[in-house]
Amino acid sequence: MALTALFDIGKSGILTYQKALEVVSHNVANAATEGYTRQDLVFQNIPSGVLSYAGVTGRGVNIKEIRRMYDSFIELQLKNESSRLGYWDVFQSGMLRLENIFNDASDIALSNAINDFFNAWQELSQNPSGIAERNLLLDKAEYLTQRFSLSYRALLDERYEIYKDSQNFVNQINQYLDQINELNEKIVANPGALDAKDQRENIVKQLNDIVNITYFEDNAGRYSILLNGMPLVDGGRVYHMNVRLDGNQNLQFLLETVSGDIDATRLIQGGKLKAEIDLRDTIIPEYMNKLNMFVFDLTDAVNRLHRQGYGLDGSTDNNFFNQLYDLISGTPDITSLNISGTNVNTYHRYQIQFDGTNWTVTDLSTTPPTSITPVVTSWTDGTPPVNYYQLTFNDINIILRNPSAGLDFTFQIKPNTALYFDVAITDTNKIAAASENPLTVSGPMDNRNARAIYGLLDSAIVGNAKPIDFYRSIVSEIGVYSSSAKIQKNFQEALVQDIEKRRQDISGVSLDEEAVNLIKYQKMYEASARVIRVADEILSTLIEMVR
Amino acid sequence: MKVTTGFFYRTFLSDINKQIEEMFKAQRQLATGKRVLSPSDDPVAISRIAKYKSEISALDEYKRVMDTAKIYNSATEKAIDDLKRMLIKAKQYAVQGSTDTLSPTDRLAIAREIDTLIQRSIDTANTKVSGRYIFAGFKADTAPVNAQNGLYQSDTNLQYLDISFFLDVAVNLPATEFFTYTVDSADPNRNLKVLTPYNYNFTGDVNAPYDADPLGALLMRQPSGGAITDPTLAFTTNGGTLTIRLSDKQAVTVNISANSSLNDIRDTINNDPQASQYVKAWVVNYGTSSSPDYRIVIGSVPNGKSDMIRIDVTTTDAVGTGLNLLSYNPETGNLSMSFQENINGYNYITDPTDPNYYSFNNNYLNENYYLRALHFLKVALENNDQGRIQKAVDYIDKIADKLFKQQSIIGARLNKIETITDYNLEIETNTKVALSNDQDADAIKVISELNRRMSVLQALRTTLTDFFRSNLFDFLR
Repeated sequence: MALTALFDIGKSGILTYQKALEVVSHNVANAATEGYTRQDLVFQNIPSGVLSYAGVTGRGVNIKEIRRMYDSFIELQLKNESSRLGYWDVFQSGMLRLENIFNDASDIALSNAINDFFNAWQELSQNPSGIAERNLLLDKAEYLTQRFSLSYRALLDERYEIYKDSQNFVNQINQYLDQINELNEKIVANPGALDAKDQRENIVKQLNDIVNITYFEDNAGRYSILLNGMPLVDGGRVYHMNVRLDGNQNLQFLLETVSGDIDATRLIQGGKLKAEIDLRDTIIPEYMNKLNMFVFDLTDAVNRLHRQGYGLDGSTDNNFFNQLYDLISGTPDITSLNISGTNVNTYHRYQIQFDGTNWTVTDLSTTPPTSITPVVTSWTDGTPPVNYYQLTFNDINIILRNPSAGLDFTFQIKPNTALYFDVAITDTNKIAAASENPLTVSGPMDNRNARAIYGLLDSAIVGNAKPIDFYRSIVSEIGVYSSSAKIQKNFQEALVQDIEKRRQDISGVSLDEEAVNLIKYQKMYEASARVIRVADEILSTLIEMVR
Repeated sequence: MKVTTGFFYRTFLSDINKQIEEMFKAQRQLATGKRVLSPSDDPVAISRIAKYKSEISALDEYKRVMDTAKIYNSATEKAIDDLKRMLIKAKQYAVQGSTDTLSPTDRLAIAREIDTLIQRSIDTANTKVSGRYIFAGFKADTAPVNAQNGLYQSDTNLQYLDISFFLDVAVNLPATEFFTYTVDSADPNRNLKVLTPYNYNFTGDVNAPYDADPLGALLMRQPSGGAITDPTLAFTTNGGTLTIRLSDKQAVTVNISANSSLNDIRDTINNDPQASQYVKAWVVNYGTSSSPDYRIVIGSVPNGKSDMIRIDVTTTDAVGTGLNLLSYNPETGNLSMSFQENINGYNYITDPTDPNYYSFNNNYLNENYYLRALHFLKVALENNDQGRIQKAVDYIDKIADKLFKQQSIIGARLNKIETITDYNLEIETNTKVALSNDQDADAIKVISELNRRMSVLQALRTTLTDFFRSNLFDFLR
């Protein structure tokens, strides 16, 4: 073996350790990079290929490979749990906003407005002819209606915001899909592009946080991304997503495929986007409906009594709040129209016909119109006796006074009922505090109707619950949702942190470890350099010898 | 297990954040004094908090209502007290006026005093508290008692206020209870005149009250054969004549035809142009609707002098039957009718559905007629009628009793309000304690929690800086 081989061996050491130092430096530099996978070197000796009698010597060292310290199982777990964390994170912050709308822990709670409204009736009962009391009542009633519209509007805004958010999410998804596709091609072209893999891993994770996906690596190293079985990135093709609102104002996600758009809403089963869908189209509408029901039934109960009473000016049959249903045709004498629950059919248009014995109810909002069999009860009351009929169908209760044969009318409960919640009375003299005409029969101190309306505070008028009880059940329910979301989120956070710890164990960069490696490789580098110097010295000695 | 720098850092950060978050919450709890800051902090408590708040808000309102109820009822009590005092004064005048030594002029002077008392009583009955007449019904915007004729002109409705979740209390007292006639709504033409002189001549007055003698009237005895169950059946077999005389006035003869019924006799007397100037006759059911007992009652016109009526009967009816039952002549001892004092709770008619019930039982010296009693006294004084003045003392006692009764009703109301005030106060205290338990932060607990978090945070910060102050690179030279 030639003496000059020493130079080569030394050189291999220098180059190898220089590369090793580069890798260590890269690790140190990326110690704080999210999703960075620590790189490690595998050294290999170079065999000489020459046999001598004394044995085999080598030709130095080189790098066998630079490895990413990567555990695909932990990575998968991390992606899954982090996607769940994304879901609960968004869900919980949504519930927090909902809580703020219904925050009864604060002093300006909505329930105070309800109490104040009824207290104003009580106040009026003490001085039924008082202008101040009457004005106070109108003020409190208007405040109540405004608070309800405000809360309802806040829920509507929240839905709109979530729609905007989901558009951003969809844009982000599409961007990620494009990036993954691009990185796929880079990796296929250059399988050693470790950092590209890191980058792709990171993007897949981000994508998975937004929407739960599945993925696998093909032979060439491409990732195929699937959304519940439907491909998003596959074989160099990207299928973009779109979001819009469907006929029911619900979110609808569309996937652009070769054969046209398909509805992908149901395919979204996890991640932040699922939380958005759940919040916007399940949770919030539930509470919007509850507010609607509250407002509708409260209006019906107050109006029903108010119509029976008399104002200071002798006027009667006036509504206190605006009527919250539309009479499209017919002139029925409706004593009461309330709802005991809300469902998809609540806001439909109904036609009711009476032939003298039988009742027919038709849901006109379906195509074709569907016929409904109502539960009918009837009774007589008062002198002279008045016939009342109560019809119950689809959680709607109507009480009709003295219906005549041939009665035919169509009505519809206003959608977004709470937005129409408003005080109908403008003239304080028309507030019906009296049970009989104060001008002719009783007198201005007749407070019986005011007391009766105050009594509604303690009657089951909203879906078989007292107003405050119904309202506080809403608040409490949101509290339960929100607190369980918080617990879920915390649990998920701890889980993700735990997996992250395990991931860091394998893939993370410890500065101390890198420092040790740095010294190690530095020393190796120095030693290799020394080898070259020794070789140089030996060569010099040899040349001196010749001279 | 390898703990990397980055992970260490991140864990540290999240730990610090957790501590700060908890401290922020504790700090907010201290600042607001509330334990539950949002529904999710304690969903069960938030539901209870809303309920407690609603109850407290209602209790606050009830407090205001009770104050209102107290003001009105106290004023009513005070007014009744005043009326009572005036009545006592009137009684003193009556006693004074009945002494023999007083001259008619003196009595006239006392009558003036009574007149003042009448006017003051009307003013008191028209007491107004914060714009409302407390002795009125729902029509509390107009004076309940007409100052000219003393007639009650409001309604009898009681205005109730709710003073707790289950109790209400009336805040007005329609003065009908002690101040005036109950006007028969079926016949509004009975335009009763509270301040009518007891010797007012009703003859020819179409709106005259069909009032019986306030002091008494002559009541026919039950026939020996048993009660008359139908006043339209024949009463006298042979008929005859009634010679009627009032005091020293000219006697009037009324001819009763044979087979006349009780109703016929009544009509004959009342339709006789001369007799009707002295007397008035009624047929009343002295029994009940199920076992009727019809009698004739004859009173003087003007009222109050029935005991001066003389009725001599000429008939061939059998003794103890027919027209013989209508004789009344104390001088000859021929007395088949009896003179009934009306004031001592004696009522001719017990059946409230009887058409004459009001006339007989609610006449103006009923215990309910405060003003009429005073007026009766006044007129008696003016007329120098010592006997009537004496009577007036009894009436005034009767009315004072009634006033006591009314005052005790008001007292009961005030007592009720007082009891409920205590009760509500107790409920409020309990509810507030319950609310506080659910809602309020325990300051000591929160502060100690805050301190604990603070020391943990400090320890975290110290170790963090210590830990990161140096790493291996610092030791590599």
